[in-house]
Amino acid sequence: MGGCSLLRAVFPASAPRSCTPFCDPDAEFTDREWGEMSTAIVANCLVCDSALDAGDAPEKGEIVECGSCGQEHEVTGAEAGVVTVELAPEVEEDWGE
Amino acid sequence: MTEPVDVLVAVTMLRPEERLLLDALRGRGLTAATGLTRDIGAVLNGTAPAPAALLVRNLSHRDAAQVARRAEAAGIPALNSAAALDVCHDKGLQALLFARHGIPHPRSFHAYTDEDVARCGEELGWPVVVKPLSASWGRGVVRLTGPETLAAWSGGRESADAAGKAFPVLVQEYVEKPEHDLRVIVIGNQPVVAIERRSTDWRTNTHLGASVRRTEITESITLLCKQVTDLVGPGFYGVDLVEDVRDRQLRVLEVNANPEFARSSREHGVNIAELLADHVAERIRGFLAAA
Repeated sequence: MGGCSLLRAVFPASAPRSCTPFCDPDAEFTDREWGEMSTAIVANCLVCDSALDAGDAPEKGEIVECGSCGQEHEVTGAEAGVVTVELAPEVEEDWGE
Repeated sequence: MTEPVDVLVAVTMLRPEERLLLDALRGRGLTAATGLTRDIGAVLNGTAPAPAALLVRNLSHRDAAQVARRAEAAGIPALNSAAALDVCHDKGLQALLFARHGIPHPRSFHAYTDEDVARCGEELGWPVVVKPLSASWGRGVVRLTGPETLAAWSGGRESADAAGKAFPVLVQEYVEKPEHDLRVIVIGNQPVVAIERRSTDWRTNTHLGASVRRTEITESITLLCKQVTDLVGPGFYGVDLVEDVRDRQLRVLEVNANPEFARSSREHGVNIAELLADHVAERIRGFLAAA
């Protein structure tokens, strides 16, 4: 299980530009990060740092695959426009029906 | 999760099944959210609000059992119940309980050593099926045809498990079946769909590629499912049945507490998520009325 990744939401341009308490408040956001009136929530891949698309309404436990390297991530939090992910869990011997 | 929800769906990861369930629950006006084990911990510790019920859908048997036990201890009803999960996660407990309660089941023994497995094979007559007590999706399930295959199995087991921690295992008579077995989805006390699972492999798990086809829910299927739910309580189950070609009678192979249904629903056309959401809504009304 990997460490937590803090993700920046792509808010509408009118939304407050707050991120998470752990984000650098002076960070310069790019157009890609803020988007153009998009409500899709993106994150960065924990392996290759490419943008992940967690969709419009990610649920905890949802698996998001990196479009660049294929690494799977699990959404561990999705509230107030902030999404966190960890590396997706691997199949274990006690998994099943 | 800052607002209390009606249903907290405990997950290891969100599968299509849980996505369908969330949609169905919300479609009934219930509030529903998914929770990882740490979220359940927050509820238990009082730092997150308690839901009206916990729907246990963890892939991990260990996590499913512990979140259900702790939720119930905290006064939160769990579906399925912790007691039901304990039985469903242990094929050995099922064999003992089925025998005790007269539920037709292949003859089965617990084996604690390789020599025990050999004795069971002689007692039951070869071939026999050896099953880990708590494995799923057909993992570790083997058919032993006699002492030679037993020696091969023992050798493989010893190389991976020198201390013998894989024991006890369940040794079960091999039931010759008509090219398929049956998976019956039970909601509450009622079987809602039965499917035949066909495979070229003697194991007919859909995880191993078995195809599915809807079949009639007969009186004997209904009776067997009732016997099982009388034992483990009403809930959401996948009951596996097999017809013995010698006497054409059905036997209960096992009962599963966390059946998958997204792929098979597309084949048989029964909307399991909607039916389960109805059941959950009804149970929540019951829990609230009893509170």
